[in-house]
Amino acid sequence: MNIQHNSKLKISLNNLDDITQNTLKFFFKSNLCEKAELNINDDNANVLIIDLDRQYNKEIIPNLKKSNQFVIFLHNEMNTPLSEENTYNVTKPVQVKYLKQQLSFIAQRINDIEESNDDSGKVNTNSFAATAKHAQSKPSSQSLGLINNKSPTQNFKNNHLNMALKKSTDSSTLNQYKAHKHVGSNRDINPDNPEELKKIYHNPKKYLYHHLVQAVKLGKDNKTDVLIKTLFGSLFFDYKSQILFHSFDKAKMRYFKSSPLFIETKIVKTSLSEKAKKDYSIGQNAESLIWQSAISASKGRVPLGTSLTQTIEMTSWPNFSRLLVFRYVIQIAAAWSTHHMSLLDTASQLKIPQRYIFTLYNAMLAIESAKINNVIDNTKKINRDKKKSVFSKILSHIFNH
Amino acid sequence: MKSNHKIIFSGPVGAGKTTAITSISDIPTVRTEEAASDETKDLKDTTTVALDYGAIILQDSTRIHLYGTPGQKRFDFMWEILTNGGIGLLLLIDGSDSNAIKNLKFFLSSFKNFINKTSVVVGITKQDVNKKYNLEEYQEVLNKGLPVVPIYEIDARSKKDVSLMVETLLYTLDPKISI
Repeated sequence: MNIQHNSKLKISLNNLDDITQNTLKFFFKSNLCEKAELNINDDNANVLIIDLDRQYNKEIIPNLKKSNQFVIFLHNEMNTPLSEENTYNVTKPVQVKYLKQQLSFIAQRINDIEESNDDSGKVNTNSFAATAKHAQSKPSSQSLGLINNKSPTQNFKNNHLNMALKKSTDSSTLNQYKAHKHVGSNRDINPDNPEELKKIYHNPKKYLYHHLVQAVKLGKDNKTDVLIKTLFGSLFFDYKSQILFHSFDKAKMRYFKSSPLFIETKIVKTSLSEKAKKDYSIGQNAESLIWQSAISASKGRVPLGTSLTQTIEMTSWPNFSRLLVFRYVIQIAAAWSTHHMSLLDTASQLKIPQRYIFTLYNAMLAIESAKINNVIDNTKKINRDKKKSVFSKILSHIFNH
Repeated sequence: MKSNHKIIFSGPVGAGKTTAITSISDIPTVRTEEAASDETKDLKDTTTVALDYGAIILQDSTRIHLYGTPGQKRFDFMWEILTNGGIGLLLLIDGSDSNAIKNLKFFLSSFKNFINKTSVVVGITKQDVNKKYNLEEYQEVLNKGLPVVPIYEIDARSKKDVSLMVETLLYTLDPKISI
């Protein structure tokens, strides 16, 4: 087995203030120059050091790092640390021993991953890790591409593009689709059959997303924070940051998003004290939470009274790069962005199951990026582009890579 | 003879055009960078002076050329040449620039003819660094009925984000593409 010694941890300082940056530079130069290489905004670093208190939207932070990178967040005691995978926290003012300890953990993890993933007989033994061999590391639940020299972008796993293509979809992902995770399992309906028609409607007032929409609207209209009181606990909309805070764990929240339980919900303007705000420990961008909740509630259905034959007016393009995206979403949105079409017409023209179209419409309606237009106009048909063949090939290419 | 197609990346200096091309290119990106000398110097050390070039190489060896235009307005004479025969435009705007809205308007206007013939997708970069405008403010510039212009907050370093822009561009050109 070929063992490489003395490979350095690559550290990147990202958007730190001058004092912190210079302090860390001094620290690395005097303590760790043989074990770590320090750069500013280095895309290829193993570890990013980010100041959590510097105007970062917590929703965006996970997107800052690539799948094979670790992050150390510097934060003050008042700021809630993040507990994402491969992230570590150091409280400010930064104490050298704690920073060193976290770097040791990371180095150890990289070393563990390299060893467990080594399929080429080549092991990179990180010198930093060697000094931390007794350090207790966090369990690894993710295979990182650090030893096989794959570029970080080759490792992205949750890309909807990958999931969208049958050819590249592994069996578990395919099963996920078969389970109709996001769009339910309703078959296409005949709109002339009243019994079938019943299946595709839901009452938004019973679902969480409807109340979140109302709360955000109240907050924006009145430029105030809003409290959403439900039978299961409260949510808090922070007007300034546009973040919805709550204290539900993931399992509860998943259940609440999809269950028709919110019949006695009250929405009130509020001005909570800083102390009271601390009861709401989990925050999510309001639009993102509304979007997810609307998808979970819809499961292939649209709000009561929605016309299936009147045309849809798309008012803005959703920020899909930061929203939950499921199969066909871009294709359907593209059709609506360029043509006046009804829900049923969209399904028949694109040859996509109705449940996908209904679910997307419900989510876009919730974030006010689409609505039913009152004009019946199904005359405009989509014409195929003459370059369709190469377009298909490009899409297949980007889905597969 | 294999036919060739190209996708154009444009936007102001520092918006991330070179980075975006590098994110999805199957070949090492060819960069024509020089030390910045004019007002660009305040933004970054080097800048694209002719064009950036990358390529997506399909299974049948067809090349989809990825061209990045130089960001400075004084190179606008090159934009028309580069867009000739292009599939569509990916327009990147630096969201941390206080002139971001102005830049968006300028580039949409500059590429108006090309956009009318093809399609455009807008990517706002660096929104996480120092956001100057909300996405809604950019959308107000764009929203004038159909077609609704796609606009995303993106990280130009992310293959996922840049691929999403390409996917969106292709579907807006032909929503009936099947794969």
